[in-house]
Amino acid sequence: MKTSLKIIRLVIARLEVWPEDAKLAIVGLGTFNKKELITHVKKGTDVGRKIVEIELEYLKSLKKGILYA
Amino acid sequence: MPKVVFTRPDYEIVTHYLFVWSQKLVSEAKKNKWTVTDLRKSQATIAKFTAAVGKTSPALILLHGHGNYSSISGHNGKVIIQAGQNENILKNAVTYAFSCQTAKELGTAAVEAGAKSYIGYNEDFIFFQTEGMEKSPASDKRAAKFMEPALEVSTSLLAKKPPKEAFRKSQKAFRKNIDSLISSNSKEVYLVRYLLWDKNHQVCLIKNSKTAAIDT
Repeated sequence: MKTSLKIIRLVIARLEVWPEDAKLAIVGLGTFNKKELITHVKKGTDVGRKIVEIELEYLKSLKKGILYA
Repeated sequence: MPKVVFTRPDYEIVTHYLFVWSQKLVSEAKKNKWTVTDLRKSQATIAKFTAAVGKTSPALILLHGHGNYSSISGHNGKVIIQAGQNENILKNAVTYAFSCQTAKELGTAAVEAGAKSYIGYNEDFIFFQTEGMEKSPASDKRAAKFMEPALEVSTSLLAKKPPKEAFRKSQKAFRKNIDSLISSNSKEVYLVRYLLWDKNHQVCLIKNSKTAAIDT
């Protein structure tokens, strides 16, 4: 499996665990529930790419141990 | 009395959250003996902002609204400050832009043009809301996790703390919320990555000095 596909699957799996009533708001882009975000991630829209970017940055932080400093 | 100018547009759900959450800052400013110009809702326009700054020469400017790398907007998404055009309006003032991305180009340009400091975000500011809470954003505990640390900058500046201290206090408040979620069994732990994102992309710009996110 290609790395990019693995990452997209990982991001979607993370989004799946959100509560149904949670909505992400980006100042400038609007609000999105998890179903909408999953669609954005699958389609590779600007919003979807932003969510992937945030997840990758988070994973890098975990690797650096920042959250346990 | 020192003077502060607010821009607080309120024309869709995201700006409505910023508008409601920033309401207490206006009271805080008055309590701390600031002379307040509150450009709320449809008053948040380039004409009114330019006039207010020209008339009052504020020590502090608190901006709320949509932004991109080079500009920040007011009512209905219309630009109020654009890098390369009118960033010098922030000259001699301390500014906090509670907005996406503006620290990257607009903030840098403003500091180069003589702004005392510019605190903002060099990427998108992200927060969460709870469906059904749109009519009472101040009671939305999920949103509070993001709003409270972000507004710590404003609260500290209104308490006359220096910009670097306001920035540090906000960073600590983000960290506190992150740690609180990590150390609990909360189902809200998925919020951590977004709080960390906001914390890491908050910057404090001062001429010849940039204070980036800190590991508090």
